[in-house]
Amino acid sequence: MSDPLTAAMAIASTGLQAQSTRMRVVSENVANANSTSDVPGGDPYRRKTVTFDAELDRAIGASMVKVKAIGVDKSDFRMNYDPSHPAADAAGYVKLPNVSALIEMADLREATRSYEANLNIIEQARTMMMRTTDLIRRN
Amino acid sequence: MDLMGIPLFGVASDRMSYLAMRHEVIAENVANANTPKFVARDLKPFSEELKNAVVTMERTRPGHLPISSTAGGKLRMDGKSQTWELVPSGNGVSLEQEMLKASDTVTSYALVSNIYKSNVNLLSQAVSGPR
Repeated sequence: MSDPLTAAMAIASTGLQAQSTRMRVVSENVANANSTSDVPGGDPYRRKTVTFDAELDRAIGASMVKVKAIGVDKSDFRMNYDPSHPAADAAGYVKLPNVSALIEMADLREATRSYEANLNIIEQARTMMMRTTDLIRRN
Repeated sequence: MDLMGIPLFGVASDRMSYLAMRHEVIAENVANANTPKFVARDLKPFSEELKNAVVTMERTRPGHLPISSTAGGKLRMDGKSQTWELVPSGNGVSLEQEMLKASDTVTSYALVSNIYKSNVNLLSQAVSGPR
């Protein structure tokens, strides 16, 4: 059995990794909020989603978190009437990505909050380790 | 001399390893704060673990079986730990609650390690006399 405090740090670092992957995907979505197709009537950028899964690490015996899959949002595209657009179809409509800036911002806030919580756990585990090593210090 | 044979040192080190393990469980909860269907877990309170510790006879020879301790890693999960919220994805981790538990763990750890240290000082003073 490994040291619980080291294990706590390892677990929290998988949390950091998962949350930063989520932030990367959110920034991809925001950056591509207006990426349309370059052929008339073609599909634009489709919003990406991240799903997390708890995974039992046998060496430590605790559930780590990992990114299960980066999927796509299957909701409908926004339709905008703009006949002059290069990606407009025969009726003059352009398909815009199904990215909502509001949802992405909410997602980003949540990811940041979880990231900070994981950092806190690492910081506290470190404090506890320092306390233990301080026991051998003379006075 | 076995330092752990002195009750205070034994309990203090048990308490410290309990707190370290609890911190690990909290870390699991926080890492899975956004995992669907993950429900926060917690250890049983330390007072209950102490009650379950079996009192054994004093060891007068090194060959005798060791005294029981909660530090062996056989701590149990609390089945009825209450979580503050459950979101639509089925996740039952409240970050606020976990942060509260974590800071509680750290302060308790500080307290116990200080008690431990002051007892070591007490002992060394008894051995060496006033300096």
